[in-house]
Amino acid sequence: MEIGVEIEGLHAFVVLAGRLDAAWSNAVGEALDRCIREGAHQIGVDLAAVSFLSSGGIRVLLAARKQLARIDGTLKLERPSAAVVQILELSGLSALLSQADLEPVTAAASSPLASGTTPKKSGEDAAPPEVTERAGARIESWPGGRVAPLRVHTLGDPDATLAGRVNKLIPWRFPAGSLGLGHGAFGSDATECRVRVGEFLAVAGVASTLPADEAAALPDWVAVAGDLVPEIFTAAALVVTGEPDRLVRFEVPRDTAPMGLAMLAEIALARAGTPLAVIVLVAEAAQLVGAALRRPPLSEMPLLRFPEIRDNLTFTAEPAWADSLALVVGVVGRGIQRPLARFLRPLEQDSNLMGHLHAGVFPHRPIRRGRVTLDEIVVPLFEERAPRTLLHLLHDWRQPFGAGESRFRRGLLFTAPLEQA
Amino acid sequence: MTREAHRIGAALNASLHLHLRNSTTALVPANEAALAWLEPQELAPEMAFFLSLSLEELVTNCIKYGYDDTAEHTIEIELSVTDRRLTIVVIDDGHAFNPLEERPPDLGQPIGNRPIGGLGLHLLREMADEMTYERRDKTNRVSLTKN
Repeated sequence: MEIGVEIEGLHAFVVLAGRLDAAWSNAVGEALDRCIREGAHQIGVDLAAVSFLSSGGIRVLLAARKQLARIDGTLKLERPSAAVVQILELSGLSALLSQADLEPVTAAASSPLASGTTPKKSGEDAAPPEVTERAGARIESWPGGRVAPLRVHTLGDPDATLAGRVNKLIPWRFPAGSLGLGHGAFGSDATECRVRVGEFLAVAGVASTLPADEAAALPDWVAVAGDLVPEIFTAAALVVTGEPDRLVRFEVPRDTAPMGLAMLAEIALARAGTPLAVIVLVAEAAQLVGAALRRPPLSEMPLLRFPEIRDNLTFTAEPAWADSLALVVGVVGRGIQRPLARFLRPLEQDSNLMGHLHAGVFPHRPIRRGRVTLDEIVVPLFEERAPRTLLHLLHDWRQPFGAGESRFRRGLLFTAPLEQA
Repeated sequence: MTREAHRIGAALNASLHLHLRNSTTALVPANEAALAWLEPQELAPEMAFFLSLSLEELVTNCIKYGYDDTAEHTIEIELSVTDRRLTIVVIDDGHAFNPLEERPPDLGQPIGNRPIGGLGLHLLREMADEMTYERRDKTNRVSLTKN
């Protein structure tokens, strides 16, 4: 089989010729997957020269269609050969050809980042985004957002955690409409939690922790369900009541360097219009740089002391997690005073830009276009693709061997002005 | 598929007997041999499509779901043409599986809710004039005929 692929922004055109059978279905599936990964949401597949189609071939077309439907994209089968028409009709899938089962795409969808078929919530501001450019990337900012800043509280003592002197764990509940990050664990009481204290983040009614008592552990997560609200026993944390509601979408062209975390922090601060901002980023990562506790901070031994640091923390000595999807929750600011300053670290060299950000790392999946809310994105992310790890993001600027900072190709940045409680 | 089997088939002309390993890579040469055998039979062009689809769906089903071990098995294919009627028999030594007892997929569901897969046997049932199944000597024998 011959597979031709052309990708142009949101659109991709795939020309297939030959047998779309079990032997070729993987290659075709990979080609369609690549289109979606590279940002195409409207994919046309030309089937004029496809002489044979089996259930294995239908499988990859349906899988791509399902993947696209989740991001309001479309898969259009064009110019089908007689063999293709016959098989699709016998399979009850003629609608794939006519797209009759899909919601019609609105005229606004001709704008590359318009919301297309995304249903608008009543009362939602349907105004178009303001489009600007920053370091070669396209930046879209939607108007709106509450005026009053959200408030950030500090819990516990981050220095005591790093010194291995955690005496007290504070239970904190994270209902929908709040967020937080720090060191903590799930459990029924503080004694039980002590041995598991590791990185955590919480946002949009989901909390996730990386238990530090087991080297190979995957993150645990709990979502709000009825009366059940995720509760974390925390050694040290930043907690914010309220959720960021100012939305920025960014997209870096393929020939441009992915956007660094410090630049995204700058964009968030500019959008918030205050020296301190809260950030929730859902973005396709080109690389992540960070560390995670791998031993609970109970040993009376400084976690960062050499050589024990190697057992106490995992650290991405090289950029890691390329092509993953990151959910980053954090606080960024400039010229920040104590007590909050004790929780923040520099985001770039020789700069007063500071931040504390944790990332949940998920297998890659494309991000829906248009204006979306945190609730629409976060819970499905955990439910459909469990997190692989949690990381405390760092900027390792040591020359020449430092891993640098986390970088992203495209994504959604939710932000809001923030003040210390 | 063995070279010897191909020669026997060619000699008999109106029938072809193929042996292939239970590996998806074995399917491609088996399909080519089957189509090469069919061509001089001068049947309607859609017969080639039907033959190719039958081999692919039955053999891949068998490879994917038929065996309870990871050992190498042989799948036999018997093709014959009598009075312009094509018969395809696929014989495997996997666990008993009667494709006629499989529930047809619910084609009335919206495409978005349709489970991926389960279509192969449905397509064969739709396209064949006759489909039979027999469990004999610890083998599954699925036979398809089309005029």
